[in-house]
Amino acid sequence: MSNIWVVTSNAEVADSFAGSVAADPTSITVVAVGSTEAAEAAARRGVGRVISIVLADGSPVEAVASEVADLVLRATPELVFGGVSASDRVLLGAIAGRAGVSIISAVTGFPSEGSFTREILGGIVATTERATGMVVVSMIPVRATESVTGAAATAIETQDLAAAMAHVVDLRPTETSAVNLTNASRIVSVGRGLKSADDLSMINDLAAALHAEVSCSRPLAEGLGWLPKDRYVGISGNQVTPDLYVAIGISGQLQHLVGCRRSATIVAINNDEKAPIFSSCDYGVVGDLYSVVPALTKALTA
Amino acid sequence: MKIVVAYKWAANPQDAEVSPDGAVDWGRATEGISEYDPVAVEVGRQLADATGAELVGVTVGAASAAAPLARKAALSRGLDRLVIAADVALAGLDTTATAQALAQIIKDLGDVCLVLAGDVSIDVAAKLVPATLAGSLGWPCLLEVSSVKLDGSTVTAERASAAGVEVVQVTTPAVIACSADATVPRIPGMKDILAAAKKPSEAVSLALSSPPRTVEVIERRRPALKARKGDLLNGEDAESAAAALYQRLHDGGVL
Repeated sequence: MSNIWVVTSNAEVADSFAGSVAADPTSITVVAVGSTEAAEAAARRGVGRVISIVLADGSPVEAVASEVADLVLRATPELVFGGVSASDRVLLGAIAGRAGVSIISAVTGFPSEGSFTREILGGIVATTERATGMVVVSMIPVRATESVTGAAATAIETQDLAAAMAHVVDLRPTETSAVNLTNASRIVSVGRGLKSADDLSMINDLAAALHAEVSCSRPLAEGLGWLPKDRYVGISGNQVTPDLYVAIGISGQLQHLVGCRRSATIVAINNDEKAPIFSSCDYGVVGDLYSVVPALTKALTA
Repeated sequence: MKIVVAYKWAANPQDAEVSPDGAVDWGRATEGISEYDPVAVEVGRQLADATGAELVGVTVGAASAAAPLARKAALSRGLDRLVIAADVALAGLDTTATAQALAQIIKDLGDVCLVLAGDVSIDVAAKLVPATLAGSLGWPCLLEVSSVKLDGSTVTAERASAAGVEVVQVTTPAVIACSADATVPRIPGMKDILAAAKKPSEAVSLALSSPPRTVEVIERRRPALKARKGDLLNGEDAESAAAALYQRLHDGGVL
């Protein structure tokens, strides 16, 4: 394939896809929307073309979705890739909806250019599929391999797009730091077995001892709000591939397992021996997380 | 003026059986309003009450989406009426075909200022229909929105970004997907269920040909899951269980 486009507002997605979605990077055009970091990351990968869309002040990425779709469709690409963030999905949906072509998600690999393996219906069926025309793909970046540093290998074309469709009128900063679970090599994840938000300190202590990131199951992020939403693992949240995933007080419903089942090693700590997580783990401790977690932290720091 | 809620009648894949060749038996799975959609309906009810708009539920799906039970389940959550395209031929449409069918119904309705949807469906979980619907309509779109207000032709939406909570204004007509925390949806009471029986619902047949799929399935199977050791330790004595777990992780080269 010779005409592959990546459309994203995210630097990690631009970097990862510029280095992975085609055997020949010069067949890739990257459209970086409202992110000079994304444009620079793609340029360092030596892709064929980098178009940096400069947004007007206060203009969110979504404001230019129609214009970006026009720009991409004029080039009649064979495949269009983007990430899974809310902004990227709006860009990709604008392209697929306008063109009337298929848009797919949950791609897990490329057996060859123009074909995909993916998991559909919430991860219960795996398929191999082949493009028969233009296809738009929304997918999670793979874990970064080697990074490319140094000078840009591709000239960046900038394009100003003014669109009056949407404006950011206010931003209320939050203190929580953004987390990158995609690249984490170890993750400690906590679920409904935790009785109180105060007890997160115990989970953080274990994570610190393991040099791991902290994530959670969906109810802790969406119902209880104990952790920010960018930290939950599951079919509709993050799908992670760490070397070690420690599931604490997580029962292991399918929607959660789909988010963590590509981890190399899974450890489960749960007081319910019938919890489905124990059928999907390498090592499990059937016991009270309130005594097992501190004991494990102690064993790690001894 | 109309506010549309695009919802889905679907079952949870966790309750389905998958054979080795990837065929899905939904026999034991019960269909319902897809789990995030009641939030969108409740947000729509609040906006409709505040603005005097009519709140119309729209869905596209298999024949079961038009069954009396399915219609009552949707209407009892606060919609004023339904427009349903339900047919065997519409079961399992792909994302773009679903979006274009919804777009057709919305265009036919006319005078729609806002389309609300849940962020993700319980069965397909691709999170792509709202954005593709917006692309089909040529309308602006915001996803993962936790608060929506409607004032004249301005939608004010809040959403989480890496930097904090962003307040974004878009001009109607627009498509907005609500996150699970946008509001607390009602649990339909007897009054809601009785009222639902009196509300109108209209079945429409779509005079549009679905866009061709540009991707074809060449193989289906049950996902090949990584074999797990399943080595379980009794945690009654937490210290020795932790020590044994540490040893196994260490010996296995994980630590």
